[in-house]
Amino acid sequence: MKDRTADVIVVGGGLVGCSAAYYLAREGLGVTVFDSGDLAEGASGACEGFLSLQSKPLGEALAMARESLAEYAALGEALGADMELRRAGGMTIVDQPEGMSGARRLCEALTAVGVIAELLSPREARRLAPVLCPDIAGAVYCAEEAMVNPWQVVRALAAAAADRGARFVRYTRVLRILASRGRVTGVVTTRACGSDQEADWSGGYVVLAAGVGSPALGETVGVDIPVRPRRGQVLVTEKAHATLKPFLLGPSYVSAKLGPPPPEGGAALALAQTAAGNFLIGGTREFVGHDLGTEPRGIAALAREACSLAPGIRHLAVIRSFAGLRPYVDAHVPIIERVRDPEGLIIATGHGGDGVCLAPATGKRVAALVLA
Amino acid sequence: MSEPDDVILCRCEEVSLGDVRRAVAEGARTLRGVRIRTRASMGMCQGRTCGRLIAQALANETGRPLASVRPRRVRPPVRPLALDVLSRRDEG
Repeated sequence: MKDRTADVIVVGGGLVGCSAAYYLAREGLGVTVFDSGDLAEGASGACEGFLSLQSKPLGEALAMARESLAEYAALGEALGADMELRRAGGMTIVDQPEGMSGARRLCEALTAVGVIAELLSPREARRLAPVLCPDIAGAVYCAEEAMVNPWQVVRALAAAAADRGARFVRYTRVLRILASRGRVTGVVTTRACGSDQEADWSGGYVVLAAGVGSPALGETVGVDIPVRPRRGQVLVTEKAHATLKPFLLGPSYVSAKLGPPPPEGGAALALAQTAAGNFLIGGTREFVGHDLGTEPRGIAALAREACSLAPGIRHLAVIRSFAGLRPYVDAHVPIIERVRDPEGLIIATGHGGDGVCLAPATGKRVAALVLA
Repeated sequence: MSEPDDVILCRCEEVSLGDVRRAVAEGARTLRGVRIRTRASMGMCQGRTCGRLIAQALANETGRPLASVRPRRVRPPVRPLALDVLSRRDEG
């Protein structure tokens, strides 16, 4: 590869990196995206695909989620790609009667900003989701929430970016960011096909969208990025007839938002049936470094919560488990900002478990930061 | 492997050799790359039947030795187990 220059270098070919590449390329900028593997080999390839509004803190995160949801609907058509977008709504289950007043407040707060959220009785909730346990107190239902296939999103965004001139350099790891006189000048990578030699690339801007790999790269130019890997284990069941249309969030999602955070290692249940017919049951929330393993305790916890919340699926066989390292930040809002020193470095990570939900809005913001 | 495109390699998800070839043309270089693009080995048997066939096809289409195709990570449960059975297991 002789020409090693780009207007913008994007580090990371996941949901955020490919989204940034698309929106940048759409503005006519010359983009080169690096990924140490294929594409979406980090959290983007190990997640569930929920586009949830009611689980977002009110304010910026919710605004970005709404913007992204609208953008997904438009992107399917604009890109001519099937991202398996299914707009069947989402439901957060309230298991205790004491939780209903908080749930009502949530509905009111969401409705006040234009997101229609209804408080459902147990019977109404079970009508929408017959697999649900009858012993719940109720549910918060948001009809405009949706699901999407994260891999198909990455694939579509990457293809669309490439159509607009973006270059994707895969199986090439970015080793460090280069800067001179307070300004980024490019990156150093391994050569393609994993040889020992390094290669220098020049770029006027560097977008760091490497998920849990971002802090190590930020360090190479003295930038602290407070992202920590948080493991989420997920179960996959065999296919079943289409019985669950909305996705379900367990009670700890509501309490985590309105009250103290769930206990360390606890599972915050998120359950859905994909377009293919498999059920996805996630996820644990563990700080275990970069360990991508799945293990009996986490699997049992997820299975227990799924059987308790949705006994209608308890006989389905789990055929696979997987895990993803979510780029977690304490603030629960992603870091999308232009760094002061070195100039030209843009951080776009820290989405935690909300990468797919916020990717389009993130890409747009990155493009705006570069063009500012 | 000079078989025609319509040979089925993954029976669970009905993925053909042609699908694998297209995935490689699109950029798949690993079993994972083939899997996410075609759903090969994502079915009930999780590649127990088709895994080797997919690996052979991948090696062939990318001109690499079969031994260089990294196998899929082994994950619990190693055979399908119902949710209610799994929910009763806490250790090992």
